[in-house]
Amino acid sequence: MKISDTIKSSSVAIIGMSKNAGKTTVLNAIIKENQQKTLGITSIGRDGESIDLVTGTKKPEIYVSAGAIIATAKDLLNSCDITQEILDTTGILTPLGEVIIIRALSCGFVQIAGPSTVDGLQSVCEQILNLGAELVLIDGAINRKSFSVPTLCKEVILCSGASLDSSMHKVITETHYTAQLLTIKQLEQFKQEIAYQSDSKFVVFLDDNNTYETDSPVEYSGFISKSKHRKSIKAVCINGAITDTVVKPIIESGIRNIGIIGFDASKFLLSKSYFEKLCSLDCMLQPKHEMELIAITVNPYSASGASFDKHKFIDELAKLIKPMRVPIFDVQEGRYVF
Amino acid sequence: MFFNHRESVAIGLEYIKNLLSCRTPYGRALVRTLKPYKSKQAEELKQELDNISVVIDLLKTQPNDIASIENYFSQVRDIKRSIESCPDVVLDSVALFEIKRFLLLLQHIVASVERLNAHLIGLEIPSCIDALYLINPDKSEAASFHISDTFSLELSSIRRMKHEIEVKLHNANDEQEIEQLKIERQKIVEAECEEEYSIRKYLSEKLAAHKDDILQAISSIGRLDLIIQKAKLALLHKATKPEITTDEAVAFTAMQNPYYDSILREKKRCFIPVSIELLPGSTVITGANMGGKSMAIKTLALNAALAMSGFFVFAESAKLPMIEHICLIAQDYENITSGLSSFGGEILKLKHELKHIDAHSLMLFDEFAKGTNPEEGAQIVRALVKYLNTKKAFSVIATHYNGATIYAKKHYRVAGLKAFFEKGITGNSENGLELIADNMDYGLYEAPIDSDCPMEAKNISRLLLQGEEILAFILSETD
Repeated sequence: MKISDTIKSSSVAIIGMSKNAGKTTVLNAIIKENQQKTLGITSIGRDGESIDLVTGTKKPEIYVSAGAIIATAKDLLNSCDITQEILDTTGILTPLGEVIIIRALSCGFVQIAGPSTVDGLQSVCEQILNLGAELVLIDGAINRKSFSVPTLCKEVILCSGASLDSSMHKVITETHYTAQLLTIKQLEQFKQEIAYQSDSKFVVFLDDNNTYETDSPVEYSGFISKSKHRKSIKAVCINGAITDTVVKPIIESGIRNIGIIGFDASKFLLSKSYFEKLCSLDCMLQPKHEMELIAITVNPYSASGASFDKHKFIDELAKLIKPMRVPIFDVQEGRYVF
Repeated sequence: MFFNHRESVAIGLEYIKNLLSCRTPYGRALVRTLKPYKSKQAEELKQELDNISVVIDLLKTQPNDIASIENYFSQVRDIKRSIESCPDVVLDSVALFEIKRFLLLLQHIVASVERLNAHLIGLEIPSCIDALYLINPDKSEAASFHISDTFSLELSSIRRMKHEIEVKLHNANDEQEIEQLKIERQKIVEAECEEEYSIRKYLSEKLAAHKDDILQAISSIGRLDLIIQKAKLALLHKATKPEITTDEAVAFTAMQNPYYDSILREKKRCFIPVSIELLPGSTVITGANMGGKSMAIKTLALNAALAMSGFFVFAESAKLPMIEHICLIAQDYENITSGLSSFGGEILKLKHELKHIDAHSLMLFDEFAKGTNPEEGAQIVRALVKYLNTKKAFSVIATHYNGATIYAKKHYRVAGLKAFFEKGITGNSENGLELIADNMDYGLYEAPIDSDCPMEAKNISRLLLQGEEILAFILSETD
């Protein structure tokens, strides 16, 4: 089984648990496996430099074949050594200039800095697909806090590796937790609440189809804590990050069996222990934009030189991931566990 | 423009500018920096107005052709800076792409403007076809741009080598061989980059020869874009073409102000058209407070400014000579930052404006010296009317002070509540405000210069204060 075999739709985002988690290696592997397809490639923010701008370590570069369609910032065009055809401009500005869409007329290395907002990325992806790309690869964010992907893209590959932490146990637990968050599916019982549109920061849905809306965290937690509301709350929707502070009043009031709705998994920033407490109360996190975790990749080598036992790493992780039915790949070794 | 931003908002000019939805960045730039025509440009102003008439007809007879031009216009991106920088700057591929896209679009624009078969003056759009051939030697219809092999034999041979080495790289397995090939490839990439640079340099230099034509096309496109918008605005608001004369007279009949009208309509009322004729010298408008003197003055300011900026005017008819300078002194000159009173602010502005008063000036005063004590205020307004009556400029002074009209050429009066009170209708304090609003006649009527300001304050008090103890005190008060 190849990693590309897990991709079923026309766009996939590759997101990392940390820097040097091996995103570019995965990207290159997918590019290599799809030489017959017209690929589109972009990123959220900047990636693809040969030297990691954060840690200073040497990184693999993105190597594309002729025909690929790439969306990158204007200032990086000179650093792409492919022969270029300018296909379109986007009007989307980044710190490195406007995002430009080019076609590779030769093979070569590219540096990619796509739009830094999810909306921008959404429109660029649409443009790339309209220009004839069959599969768009989005080089995604490098940590859990920023891995939003455009709504047109559902499929996600999560890259994890030794760079996250020196303790293998910790890396495995964190990766498992992130995978749990990424695989949360929308439940039928919260369909109406998920579809509800509001600009309020906090929306509380009550049994009698009424809502309580506020922008004040204090008013929100006050409302949740009032004993008379305890039984009538059906769901809450948070327009922003769902943190420990946000779920604390729910846990403390012992409210059971409600939905906690956020935009997508990137907004679920609560700690693992709070997440588990919610689970024990049958309170379910619910994403407005559902993602599909199609694969996890592991990189047992860290940027600092330390490394994990590659077999043990993948096997231990597999034990935890197994119920989710998501394959795990070690791309460099060409090994996978499913 | 004649006005600062605050004045422009107050008279409704900003509102009008916001009604124009130009499709091209060039049209939008013209709206942003709207400039009136100078006295010596009377012919150009007339041409612009004629062009608007032509487009108004086209909008009625060939709406689809105009729509198709607008559709092409909405695809126009700003390339002006790139073109202006030729040949001093070597254009990059993205700039060349944008220029190619513009030149391809230009062919469609030229063809659809020709299809109109209309007599538009001074709006020639060069097709710049040679410039297009220059950067598009393959004559591809695709909007994309790349430095094609056609540009140089050298480039095509470099690219062949690049391709060969990539094939070798693809098939190589040995690490050392791969490294070696990568180094070789790097050299070829550098050579390709250099050759592409010299081609871009050549193109930038050659494009410079077409610079004037391309800039001419850009300018005509921007102007045509704006003319279409002006024509649509005129149709929508039934505006008329102002007649630009050499006579020493200004005449507007049934002037409208869409801005005020939109505000009044929210209150379920509407703007009452205003007619006025001016001769060189002073014209005084009198009327009670709340009587719409200010609206009349600002509506005149708006329409005169629009006419001089090449717009149709919101009036049934308009005749005016070239006006180069419109000065509006309204009540709101209080300059808090400099600690001046509103009167001080007015005086300073007056001093400044009088410096360039001439036969091409329109001087508008809304309740001048209202903020100072009434006795001196009245004296100052009288002096102002006297002084301006000796000048060739057209001056309009709206005031509720008595005794100024006699020194003016003309006197207009806002009818106000005169007819209402003459009918002897009285209301009660409950519906008093409504009665005033409903019966206020905002129309301007010419009055003899020796007639005074209508005195309605006591009547209004009578209406609004009925049954109140104070009313008797007010009514018993005499000079």
